[in-house]
Amino acid sequence: MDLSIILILLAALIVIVIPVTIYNRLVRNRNQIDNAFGAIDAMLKKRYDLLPNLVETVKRYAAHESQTLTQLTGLRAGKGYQELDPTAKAGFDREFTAAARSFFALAENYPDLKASENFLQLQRTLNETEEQLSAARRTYNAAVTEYNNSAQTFPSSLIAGLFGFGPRKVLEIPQEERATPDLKKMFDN
Amino acid sequence: MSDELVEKLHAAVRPQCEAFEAQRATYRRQVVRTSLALVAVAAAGSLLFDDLLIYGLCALTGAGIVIAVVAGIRSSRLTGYYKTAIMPEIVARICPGATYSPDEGIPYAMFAGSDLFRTPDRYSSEDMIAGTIGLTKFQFSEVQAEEKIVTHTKNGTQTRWQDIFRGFLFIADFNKDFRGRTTLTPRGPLGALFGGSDRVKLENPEFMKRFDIRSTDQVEARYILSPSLMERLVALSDKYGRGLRVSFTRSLIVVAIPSGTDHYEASVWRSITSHKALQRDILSILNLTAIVDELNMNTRIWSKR
Repeated sequence: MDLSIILILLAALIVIVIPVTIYNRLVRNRNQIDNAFGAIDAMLKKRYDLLPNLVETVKRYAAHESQTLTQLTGLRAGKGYQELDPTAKAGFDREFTAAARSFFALAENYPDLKASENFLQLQRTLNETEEQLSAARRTYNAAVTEYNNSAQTFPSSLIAGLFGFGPRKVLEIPQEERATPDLKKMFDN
Repeated sequence: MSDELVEKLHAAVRPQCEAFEAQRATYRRQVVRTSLALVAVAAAGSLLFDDLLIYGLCALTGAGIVIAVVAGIRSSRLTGYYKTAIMPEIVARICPGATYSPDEGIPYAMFAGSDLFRTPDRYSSEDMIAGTIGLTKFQFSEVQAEEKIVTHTKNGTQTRWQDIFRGFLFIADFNKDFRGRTTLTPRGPLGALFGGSDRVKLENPEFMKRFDIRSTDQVEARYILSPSLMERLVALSDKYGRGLRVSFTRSLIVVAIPSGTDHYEASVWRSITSHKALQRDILSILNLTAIVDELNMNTRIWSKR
């Protein structure tokens, strides 16, 4: 083969094939983040749908515990999860943990509530949802880390800069007491 | 703790062990006497022939084969006693309610379903122990999966069997429900150089150093492999070495632990008490049943009961 043809092919590889591959990888990584965020959203919805059960259980076993009741009904505010805007979703994520904690604290004073099948079922479902939510957050963070690694390391950082692939922030995995991550920003993206 | 427990279990089966040893002594005497008689006949016979060396060698080889067959038959009788009188007693004491079935094993479908190994050409499994610890059902057995290697040389075709896996397969009911499949295999020297969309990257560096993780569902893999389970699996891998493989499929956990020795067998030539064979078998059962607690499988705080 002629040397000039080899050189042309080599140049084509450098100018077209490599940048396209890098660009596609960045897009794939970004889509992965969106996909992982979808999983968090789905889990938050599952958690949101548990609210009526929580309210019913409190009404049935500890109706005069108005504070917890208000806290729980306030979280739902008569809306479906899909109707919430990003700020409300983030707020719900933040406040739910506190509400759930006061619900479980309440059970300590009501043996009937604590022993009821309803309560045990709720407790298991909540544990499950929290565990899955935590898994979804960890998946999101893994996707963000992979994307950031691509967007910030050479040579893919050149393509990232050119096409506006800015860095994303990882979520802080909330400890029990710690406030929840800033989900609003994520929803706004 | 385990030394004391092994000693206790040893004491519990002492009468059976003594009966075993008495029988073994009788068998061994028989084999030795038969051997001496055969060798004497072979030697005497060879004196009658001119070609002493060739006849002598043939006679000795013949005698050797007969001795090996007699010893084999006696050993298998002893193994039968060991498996019916000693092993079930030990299993019942370690895990009340558990059963020991010497001729049963993990079905091939379960081995294949774990997705931990290549498809073997030959598969066998025996010595199944099954039971329940707390809320967790478990079963484990010895498994041997081999592949046929055919080599063509100048002298013709040679066939040999090579192990894909030899050791214990431990299967238990896992405490969470899941639909996909997640596998942990030992991390190779090249690490995760060749990625794939099914590869899972987790946050625990010690865990990532030991295992190559693949899953059909990224979120589910993290749901199963919680930070605490990762720590526990690191400890388990340190205990059993780097060959440990784990698969999570159909709400079950499958743990494959390589082991070169054939467990739960007896021989006329080996004492079960002084050669630590019994101790080794007791320890294997103790260690395998301990996995349920080591991986915290009895916790049922999730929706699975």
